[in-house]
Amino acid sequence: MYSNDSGNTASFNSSPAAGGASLRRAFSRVYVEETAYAYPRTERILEKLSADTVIKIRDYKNIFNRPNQAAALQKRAPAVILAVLKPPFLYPGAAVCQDFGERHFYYTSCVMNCPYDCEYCYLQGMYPSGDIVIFVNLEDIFTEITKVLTKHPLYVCISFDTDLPALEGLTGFLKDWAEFARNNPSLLLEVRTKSAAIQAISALPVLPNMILAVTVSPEPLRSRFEHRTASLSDRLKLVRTALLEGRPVRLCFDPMIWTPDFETLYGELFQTVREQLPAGKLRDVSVGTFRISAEYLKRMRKNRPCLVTAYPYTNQDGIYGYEPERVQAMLGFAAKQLEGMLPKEKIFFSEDLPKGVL
Amino acid sequence: MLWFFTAIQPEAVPVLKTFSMEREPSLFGTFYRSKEAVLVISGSGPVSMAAAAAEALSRFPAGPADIAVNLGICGAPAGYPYAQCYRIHKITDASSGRDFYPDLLAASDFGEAALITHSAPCASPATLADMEGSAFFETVAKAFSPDRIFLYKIVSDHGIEAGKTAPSLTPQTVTELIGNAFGGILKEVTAYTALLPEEPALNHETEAGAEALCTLLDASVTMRNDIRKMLLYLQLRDGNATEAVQRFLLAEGLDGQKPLRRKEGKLVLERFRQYCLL
Ligand code: SF4
Repeated sequence: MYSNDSGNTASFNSSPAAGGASLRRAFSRVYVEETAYAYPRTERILEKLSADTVIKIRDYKNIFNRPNQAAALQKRAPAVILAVLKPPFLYPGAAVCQDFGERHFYYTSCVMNCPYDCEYCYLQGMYPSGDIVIFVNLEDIFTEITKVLTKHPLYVCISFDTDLPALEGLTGFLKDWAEFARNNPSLLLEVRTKSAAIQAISALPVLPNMILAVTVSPEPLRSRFEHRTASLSDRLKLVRTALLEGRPVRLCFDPMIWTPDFETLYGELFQTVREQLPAGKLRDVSVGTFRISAEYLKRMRKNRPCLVTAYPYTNQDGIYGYEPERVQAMLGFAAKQLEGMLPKEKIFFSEDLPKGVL
Repeated sequence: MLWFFTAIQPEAVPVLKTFSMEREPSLFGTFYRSKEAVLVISGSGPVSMAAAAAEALSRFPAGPADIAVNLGICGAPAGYPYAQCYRIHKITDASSGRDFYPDLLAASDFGEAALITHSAPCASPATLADMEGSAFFETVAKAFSPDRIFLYKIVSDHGIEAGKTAPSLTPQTVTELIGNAFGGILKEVTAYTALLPEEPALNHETEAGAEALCTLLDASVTMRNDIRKMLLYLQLRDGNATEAVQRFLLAEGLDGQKPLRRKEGKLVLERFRQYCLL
């Protein structure tokens, strides 16, 4: 049976509700596209899942895109859908995402949806379902990337719409990506995570072109909004281990969430990072405030209002974010905290800072 | 509210015995209703089910925590024991080839199976087979989310004997087959409603505060929506939005004021927005 390697003790909650019903075990239902059976990964993943029910389907969209799904409940007991990804295999990076100065910034979705359940996660606005789709034809993505690499280098984020390290025990995808990256030095990968999947990461070769990007949040905000993710201290343990192994690590203070005690919470977070990490060894740091497309926010507010999504944001060209003064104050605060921790060229902000700051 | 859909009267008897229901006039099929449940007896076949279900849904509006249940007997291949009840996780409509998937999120004591819906009795079914399942799902899916649609099928036969057009079953046998499983089914679907998330809404107190603020500011529809959004934010942040509203009105000297003109109301609303951000 699959259990994730997030390093935290939180698990999928299937305890009985008042009426005696309980949700079924997470990943106990698996849907498999007919064509996915042709790929050896399908069998490997099915073996690990030991599902109660395996249902053959024609097209993953018949499950994933059903109208009117109870996505919030599905997040607590997700089904797995094994499917074959069809083109396009690469997407240009979205405007709300940082490009870290990389000219050819793309992302790919070999998994859609995440085993974690962050209340503010944009995936809830993007996908109609809480189920997890795993595409078993990585080779098709690799072929596409190889083609593009003949024209120019590429920076590809492979863990945007999911958390690949948290799922590595099930999918083994990072191993395949690492192998591919090893053979393609002009490809730069970013693997973003809120896990503490030390085992999964340590099993990978150390590569200069595979960045481990670990997102950190103040522990009180993590436990309030980032359900089932690894604790701050476990995530920092992962960062320390990865740095010791010589991996390029990116630390992401993104998204920063505003609360009335923002400075206290984030002040403590930066202090912890200063104390516990050899910050100078980080490849870089990203800093950003919560921002989201207006369309996604509308859906999230309707389906699952929470303190983060209910904030009266300001709409700028279809993107909701904090008021410009608040954004500047939050980024400025972070900039001050990061001063002296690492060179300023290694710190990337989601917005320009006022002149003179950092 | 629980909605039960059956094809024939004997399948509906356990529902009628459990709820004290009153007959409702209907054009297609037969309808009954009580405070807790709706019963639709459609008649056999997909067309009857689609027509009756559509009529019922247009007559009695379905709520966001309502559950739709299709109860019925079915044919099955030899591996499925007689009188066994199954929860259906996939329905194939034999004539269109379309598939439908109820979202079985809750744990269950019943086994699971796929169902194929034919428009006539099936001589030798390859999986569970009925004559209404796909029409039921396709119709009720307009009003129910897929996790709130349940099909429970009880094996009544293993195909049609040579020389007959339908399996020979007495009405009593059908009622007995459904009745034996009904207690478990009812427990399961009732319990599922407890898992459904509560509707995201302003609590009673905040609702009253929102109304008072809307009146005071002579709010348009857009202003109303903004006020409700801001109060939801305050409610989530402070656990109580009304205290913050009171403080704001006092600070603005608007406590106990007569309703403002909308132009002025708009200005106050902008200041209220700033106040919410503190
Ligand atoms: S870890 Fe990232 S992708 Fe996963 S739920 Fe949280 S925000 Fe979304």
